[in-house]
Amino acid sequence: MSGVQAPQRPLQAARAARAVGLWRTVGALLRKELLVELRTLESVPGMSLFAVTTFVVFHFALNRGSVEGDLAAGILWVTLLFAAILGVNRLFVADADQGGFDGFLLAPVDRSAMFVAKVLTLLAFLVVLELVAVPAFALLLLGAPLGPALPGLLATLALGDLGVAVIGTLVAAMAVRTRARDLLGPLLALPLFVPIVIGGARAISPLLVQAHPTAPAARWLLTLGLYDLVFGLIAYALFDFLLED
Amino acid sequence: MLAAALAEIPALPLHTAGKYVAGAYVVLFALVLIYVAIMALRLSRIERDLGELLSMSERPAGVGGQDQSAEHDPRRESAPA
Amino acid sequence: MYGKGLRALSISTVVAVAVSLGLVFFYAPLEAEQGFLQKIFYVHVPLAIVALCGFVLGGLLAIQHLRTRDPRWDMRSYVVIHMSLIFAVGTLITGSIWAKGSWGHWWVWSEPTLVSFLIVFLLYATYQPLRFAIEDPERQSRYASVFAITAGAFVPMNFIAVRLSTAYLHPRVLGSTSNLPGPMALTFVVSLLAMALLFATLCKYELTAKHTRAQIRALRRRLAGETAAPTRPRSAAPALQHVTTMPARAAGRSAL
Repeated sequence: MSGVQAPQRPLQAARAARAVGLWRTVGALLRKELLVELRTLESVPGMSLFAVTTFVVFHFALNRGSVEGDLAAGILWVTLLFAAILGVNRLFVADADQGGFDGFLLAPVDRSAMFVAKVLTLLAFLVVLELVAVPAFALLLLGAPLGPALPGLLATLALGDLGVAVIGTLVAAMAVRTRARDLLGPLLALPLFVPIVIGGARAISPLLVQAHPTAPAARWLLTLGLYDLVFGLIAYALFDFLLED
Repeated sequence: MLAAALAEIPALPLHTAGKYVAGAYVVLFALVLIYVAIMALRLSRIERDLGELLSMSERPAGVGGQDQSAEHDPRRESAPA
Repeated sequence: MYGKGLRALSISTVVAVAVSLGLVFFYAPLEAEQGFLQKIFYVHVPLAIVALCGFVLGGLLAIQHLRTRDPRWDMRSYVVIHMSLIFAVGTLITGSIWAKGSWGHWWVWSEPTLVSFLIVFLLYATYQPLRFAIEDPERQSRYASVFAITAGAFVPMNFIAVRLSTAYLHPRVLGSTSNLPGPMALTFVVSLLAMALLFATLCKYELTAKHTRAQIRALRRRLAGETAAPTRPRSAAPALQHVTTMPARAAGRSAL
């Protein structure tokens, strides 16, 4: 290539190269994460088992055979959140303990790629978790038919999962290189999860009733969406600062 | 709705309500006073440290004094903590 | 350096607090519904507003820290968040007292301000343990700033979410700041101003004390050499390093 090109071209080329770089990096990281999880099965089976066991505990704790409405929505969300925290705790442990951070930092890639990849990983874990937990919940505790509730439920869970994934990734990155990582992670995450619980539980509780199930109110879905957006942007901007050194 | 709220909260008579109001203001006062106490402790520690530093600086030069490269000098007596 | 203006600030605080107390007890009319108990409003709500603004301010100061990497911003962020946490505790306690007087219960879920504060308190209560759990000072400041920004953004969102969730349960009963009649509005504004000045004074006081500590450490190092100054034990608070004519410490951290 001669050097006689217009000045804008190299900049555009560089920008395009970086943009391709981000998604390619994300793809590579995501593939690695999912492969590791498939081979070691450290997080997802544990999370799913925890959720099912928690339902059993709830049965004995509440002394009920079936729940609906607010109670059902609450039990489902609390269980999902605590199972998610198990996943959050393990999210960066391998990177921190086995030098994954250093390797990543040396590579000439956009650092935000790690954030996106980890969020997508955690999201994938949550989806698989829910594939197990929601039917288990319907089987063990839910006193209302699941079928008609499913579309609203899935929409709410999707929005809620995104929020949990974003916040979980940010908190995991903060907590993993501290001395009390297993304790600080949940302590930091739970207050940040509260708006997700508010939106999520209020959204699905009218769905999970025997008598007249209705659709989730748009206001709660909007709350969840707004929360996801705001914290997605903030976490994306701040993640780099956690990776330095 | 206002009528319903009014019906639910009777205006407390002064001698009962006074205790709560006083309690709230005492809480504020107490918080500020606790902070004053903490600062007082710090100030006494600063005074003590400055006294030590003053006596350190009045020592004749050469025994401890201004020598900055003496950090690994084993002969130098350890300064008071 | 930090203490400049502290005297003027504290004098204006004293004046503002005295005036506001006078207004509260001698000028503001008794409210029809709650009677004398309503006077707590002039303590509880300013505490709440100042604490909230303090938390958000802590986040803004943290942004400055991440942008400039100047440890002084981290120190300011730390002090402001610390002070806001104390004011938040004050908010919870005074709110609880008000709830007891109004409802007979020490805690009510129907008051969104109180509930939001509980959540915010639980979040910021992890700030100190997070800092303490990271030993390297530069990383501690950096992670703390990330936390402060996240939490600072969380505060308003949390308020909105909680307010949405309680609106459909009970009508708000512990009083709101809208539709205040004239004399009450004036009293409220003056009380708010007094609380804000108190917050500013206490923060400045704290920053000055920390800086004085740093100056003493620097003086001790200069007088008795590097080994004399006891190394700071592991701590959650950021350390200010006083500018001296000595070369900066081995860590290479830029002095003030």
